[in-house]
Amino acid sequence: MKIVGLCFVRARDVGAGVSFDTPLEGATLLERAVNALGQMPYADELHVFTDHEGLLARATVAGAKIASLPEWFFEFNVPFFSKEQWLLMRAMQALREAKALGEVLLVADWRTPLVSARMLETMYHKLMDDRVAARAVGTYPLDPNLFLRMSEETFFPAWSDIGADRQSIPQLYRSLSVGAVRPDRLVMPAPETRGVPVGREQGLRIRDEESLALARFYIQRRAAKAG
Amino acid sequence: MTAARKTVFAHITMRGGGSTFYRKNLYRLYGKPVLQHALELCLHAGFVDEIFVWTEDEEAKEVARIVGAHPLNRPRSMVHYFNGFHGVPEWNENRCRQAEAIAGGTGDIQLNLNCNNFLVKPETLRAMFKRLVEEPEAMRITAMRQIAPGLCMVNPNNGYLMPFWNDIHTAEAEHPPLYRMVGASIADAVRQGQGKTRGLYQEVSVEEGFDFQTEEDVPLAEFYLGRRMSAAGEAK
Repeated sequence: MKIVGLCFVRARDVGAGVSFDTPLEGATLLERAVNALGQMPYADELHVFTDHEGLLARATVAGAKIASLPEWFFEFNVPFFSKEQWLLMRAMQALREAKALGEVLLVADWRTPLVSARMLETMYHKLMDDRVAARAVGTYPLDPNLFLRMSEETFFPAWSDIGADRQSIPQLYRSLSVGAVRPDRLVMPAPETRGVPVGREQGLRIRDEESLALARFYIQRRAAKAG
Repeated sequence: MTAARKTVFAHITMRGGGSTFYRKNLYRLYGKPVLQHALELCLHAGFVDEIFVWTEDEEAKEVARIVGAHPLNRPRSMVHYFNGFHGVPEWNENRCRQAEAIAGGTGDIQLNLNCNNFLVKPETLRAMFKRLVEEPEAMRITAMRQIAPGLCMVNPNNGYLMPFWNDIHTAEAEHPPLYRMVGASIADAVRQGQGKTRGLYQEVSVEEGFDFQTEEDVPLAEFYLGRRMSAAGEAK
């Protein structure tokens, strides 16, 4: 069984305040994501797929081979599983052509660089334990009492019961683009996805300078606690 | 009586325990209990006449006294939300009767603040208050925080994830905006009894809408609070 670690970098994500090359406490965001894949004990190969010319000019990043994917590959712009599913289907094509397709794919995301190798390992085991799931992805919980904004001053309850204790309302999650994948199951008509809670810190998504500052704070705090 | 002369009471309802983070409201952040941060927010808002803390916890009552707030006795039978012995109207009656005994009235306007939401800024509360008093039909104004889409839940039928606020055919930015209610609202008790009233909403930032619930929120609270105190030259 071959286990392949993957990370995607879209050229168009560069230049919005933070990029894959933005440094964070001694390593770039991409290096952190790839390092977690590399430290995960089961990864046989590491690949970074990108349409960014500057990144393509480098042979490797943190031990990962850099491979090219055309711009159209990245244009399917939808959230949630299907984006990654769509990307992974194409990644599988690319890996197959490069004779690097594994039975299990581990996917990291430079925008969530605090996900640890240990957590990736947990996702891997969750997937291996499951007899049906095509993927095990990171999630973190989100509070209820959510409202849809209908107009400037009108909100409609979308996920709320004002009279109830919020802990009694079914839990919602935000899913991350990080996880373990079984390509053989991914091709099923409705592939199932297992959620693996990663916690607020590891689930931090780097969107801007604000979230980057928070990531820096988390790392420094963790280092200070470790002495 | 003009709007400016209306009496404003702030109410904080809290208990000493906590199901998600035991004694959360007394957890110390930068040397002060979370409750004290919430009380100081009420103080710095600048429009509050009296502050009341309805609690069964003696330590919390002492914190209230430190900042000049009035501790109110929360009966043991009202500590739990859903024990079936009392409804929320009875809670309100209990605390308002006690407040009336202290302040000689129940207050024309009430600021209700959840301790969890101690990072709402005083200037935001002032803006909310201003909007409330200037809008003749407004009964209440509530803080709301926008959240990003891309949500899912665990399907109770099989335990796998299923999309909740996701449309796989549209970009994230095109999803209808979803908001979360923040535990900071101001209500006009006088207008509540009038016929034609409406609610107002005040959008707040992610930082102001921060909700301190679990131990996992401690670093985030330290980050936001530390940064704010540094800007004010107070961080230690």
